[in-house]
Amino acid sequence: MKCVVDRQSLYEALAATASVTLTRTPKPILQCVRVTAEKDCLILTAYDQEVGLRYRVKQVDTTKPGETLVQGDRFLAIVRESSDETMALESNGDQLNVRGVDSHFQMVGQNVREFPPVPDMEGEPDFVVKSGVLVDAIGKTLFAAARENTRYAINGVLWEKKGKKLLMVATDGRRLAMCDASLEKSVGDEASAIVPTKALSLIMKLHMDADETIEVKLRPNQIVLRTASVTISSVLVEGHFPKYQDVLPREHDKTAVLKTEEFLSGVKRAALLATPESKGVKIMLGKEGMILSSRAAEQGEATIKVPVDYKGSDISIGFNPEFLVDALKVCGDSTTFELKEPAKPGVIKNGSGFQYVVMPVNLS
Amino acid sequence: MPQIRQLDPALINKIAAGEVIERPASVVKELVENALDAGATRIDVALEEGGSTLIRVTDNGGGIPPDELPLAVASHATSKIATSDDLFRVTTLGFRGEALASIASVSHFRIVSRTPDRLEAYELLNSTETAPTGNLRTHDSGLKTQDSGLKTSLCSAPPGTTVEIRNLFYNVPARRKFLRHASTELANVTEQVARVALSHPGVAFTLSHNGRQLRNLPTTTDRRTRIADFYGPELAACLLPIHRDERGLRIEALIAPPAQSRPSSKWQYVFLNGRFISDRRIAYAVREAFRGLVEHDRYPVVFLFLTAPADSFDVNVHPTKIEVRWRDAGLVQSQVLAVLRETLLSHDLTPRLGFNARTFTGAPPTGERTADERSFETRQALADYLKSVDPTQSRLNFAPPRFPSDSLRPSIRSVYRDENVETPTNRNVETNEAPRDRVEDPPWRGTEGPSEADSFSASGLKTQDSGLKTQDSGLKAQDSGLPPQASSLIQIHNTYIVAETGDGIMIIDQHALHERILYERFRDRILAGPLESQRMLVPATIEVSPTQAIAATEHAELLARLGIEVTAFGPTTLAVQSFPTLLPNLDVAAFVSDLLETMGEGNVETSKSRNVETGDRLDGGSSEADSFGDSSGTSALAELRSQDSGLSLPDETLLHKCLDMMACKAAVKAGDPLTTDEMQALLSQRHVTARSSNCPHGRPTTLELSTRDLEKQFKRI
Repeated sequence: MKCVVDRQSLYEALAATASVTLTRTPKPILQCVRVTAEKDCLILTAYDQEVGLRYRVKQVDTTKPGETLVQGDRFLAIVRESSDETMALESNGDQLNVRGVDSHFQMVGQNVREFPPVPDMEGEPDFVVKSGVLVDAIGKTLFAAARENTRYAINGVLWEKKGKKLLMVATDGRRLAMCDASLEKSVGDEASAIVPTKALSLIMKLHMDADETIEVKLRPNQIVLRTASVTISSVLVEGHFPKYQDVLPREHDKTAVLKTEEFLSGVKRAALLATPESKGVKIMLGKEGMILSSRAAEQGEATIKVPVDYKGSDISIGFNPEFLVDALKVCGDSTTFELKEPAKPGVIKNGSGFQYVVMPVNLS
Repeated sequence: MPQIRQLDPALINKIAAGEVIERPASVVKELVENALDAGATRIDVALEEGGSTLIRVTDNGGGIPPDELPLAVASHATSKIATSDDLFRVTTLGFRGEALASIASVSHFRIVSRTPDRLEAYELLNSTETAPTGNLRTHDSGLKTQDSGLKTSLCSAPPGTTVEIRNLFYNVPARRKFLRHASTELANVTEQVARVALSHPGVAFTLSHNGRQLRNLPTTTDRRTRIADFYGPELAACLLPIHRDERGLRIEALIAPPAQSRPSSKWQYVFLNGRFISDRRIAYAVREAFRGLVEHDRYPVVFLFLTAPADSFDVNVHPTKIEVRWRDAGLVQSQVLAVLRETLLSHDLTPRLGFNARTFTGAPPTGERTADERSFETRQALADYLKSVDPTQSRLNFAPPRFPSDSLRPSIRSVYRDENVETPTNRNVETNEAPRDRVEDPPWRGTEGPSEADSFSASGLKTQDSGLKTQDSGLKAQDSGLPPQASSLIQIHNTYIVAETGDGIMIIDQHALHERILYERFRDRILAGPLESQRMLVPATIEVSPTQAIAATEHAELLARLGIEVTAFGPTTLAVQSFPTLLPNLDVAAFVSDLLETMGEGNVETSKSRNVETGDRLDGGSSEADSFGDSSGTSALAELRSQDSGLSLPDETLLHKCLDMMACKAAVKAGDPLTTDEMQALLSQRHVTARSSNCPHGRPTTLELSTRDLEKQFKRI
């Protein structure tokens, strides 16, 4: 293999692929990135046996196709620290020579034939979606997914495809976020899958053009997403996602309409004196508008008034401010906040696509 | 059918003897108590063959007039009480009038007594000559002739009384057979003598066996001296003294710091008005006071001397008077608990890690503690000052260079460390410990370098200040117990933190300390009100055993206090509807399941301790609450309240278990790498946390090694 590649493009590709490689693993091969030079492109591949990423770099001039396997984080560091316009790559057996204007790195690699095969898109995609739409929906749900949970399969985001709509749902058992995404093209029946958070974080990191289209293929235990330059594959989370329809409140009698920015700032400021022992923020809605307050024995009290459009009866309810902040950060200009009783969930809505159900905190 | 008939008085005495006189030790107890009641200031106990052939107790007390001598050995004859009212105002150790009669009925008995106003002594014997040793025939004759066999005769003796018991149980073969080896019986006797001697330091005792003197205890004013005599000066020196006189109950105690715990509760001595008693409620109070300071299978060493008005308790419960019934057991229990807790909380209980059996010196054995502490601080400040002024060597504070490879760093780091260490002794320690640190040097250390350098140069700056200032700061640090500077913190094996202290180094178990800190924080928080809880959108469900299910309903209130709401979800399934916000990162279902399991176990224990409470007849169930109610004015009780949870003791036990679990799950684990900031944060809380010397399970959190110990090891002194 021998080629010259644009350093900036190589850096972006490596940053993405190196985030997939495992830093601590008994299998050193999984710390590696496969570097494949083809006639018109350079392909970087990383795979941790759950999530796989193929990144295609077009800014390359290949003189001799071939491939090699090198440690991802080291290669990334070399490319990151360089200030050259281009870098020349040349493989020699299991070695990779990386040359810049004033530098020459001879990296000891691994046998490329030992790299496990990475799942690829096979056949027609099940649906096609604009990158901007997909990323927006992921951003509005991913934060609510559980990090670890053994009872339910909630350490991922549920994707449900119905017609030309894709619904994403995430919950950690305390709050639930759901968001619609409209599809460009959809083939076949309804389908659903629980996509692990690692794969979704990876999509968020790729900085794709909003208009770029993403093809998605769902298999029983695998999801593959493909754009012109990137292919992401991931195993799915196995198990049962809780019946999210059951926890969506069917009725509410109190609706507050707020400017998202003001609500968010109010919650953040009310939580400034919170301690781990008392972190709840009390929300009082009534004729005086919305009053946010918190109180921690050893810190003091905070009271914040937030302008609100509210006509319902008085209510006082506690929430974990982090949970509110998470949701308000992804809301647009205006937020609807629906409540019923102090022990019943609150619902934050923004536009038609986003809905966030959050359970209250019993303040002491 | 045999006829019903009145028993022979001798037989009655033998039956009575069965209750009180079990073995030589009980004889010694009765005789020594008689001697004390007679006002003796010197008591000599002599044994032969563990007491089975001879027990002789000689005192210098008031003696018995000759005409009363035969009455002394008659049953139900005593000089100690006269009317039934006296029975409830017993101020003497004995009062039943049965001991001598019982003893005399099962032994060859000789009593020699002289009252101080007479020149001559009198001797009373039971029929020793007619029944030399035991065969069946002589038994019978012994029984028959006992009353008639009493003889009083003149003899000569110093003032006081000597009682000689020979051939104990010669006429009760079953009991005689029951006697153990002489050494075992001797040990029992020694224990009895110890109990009496500890509570009567003003009386001189001797104990001899087969003609050899084993103990010689001269009179003393300090109970410590007696404790040292029996249990060694090491234990005696470390005891923390307690004095409290409130609401008619005087509590004096000497308690050993938790590090001196023992594997059995035998080392807990409770005395009431000079009488050794065994009281379950007081034992429970002791256990509660030391909860979390000693491991669950260890028992603290406690010498508790209670003085209470004679009418506030009833001794007439058990023939051996080992148990008493309190008029207000709850009050006594809470007073004891409060004073022990307070003392333990106000002392630094950190065990010393001496190379040579160096003892804990939390409280100097004599005199004013504060004065001594002050002089200690002054010495400390002076030592700090001398350390800080080092005219022969100036220090450079280099920032650690950045190294391209981690493998290069450690060796350089050690050099760098050595240059900055302040005292020669500490240098040795650091070089000793550092290699272990380096082995595991994890990548995150890379970022720590600069901050470390900052703190080093900060400390360097300080030492360049005038000596006077350094001295001041040294004093201050000692006063407020400020945590050590970050510069002197290292983590070893991601498990232990080593820190420099004013007087050497301390080694901290990070998990144990963090656990204790969280425990106290959770406890404070829970006592302030129910925990804040997050309601669940998707309730976590758990499969439960019947015990767990019962625990969930029975302890719903306690669970609510913890911020946990559990509802039934099916025949064997529970749903967790809310969970404390304090524990955000735990597996809810697993935690609640474990908690219910613990509570289920607790049930058994709780009901046990309830029995203890209801077992006390004089103490109605509500007396504890009453005593809280009517005494809220007094300062001690107010203090008691502030320390107590207001929960009954069984509930507190359960709460302890819950807190214990919460703290354990939420604390950093052994093996978790900590940054310097984290270590410092952890250590800074150590000084403001109650009971920080031990984790909630009673294991120590901190070990200290003094500079002096190190100097000794390095042969500097």
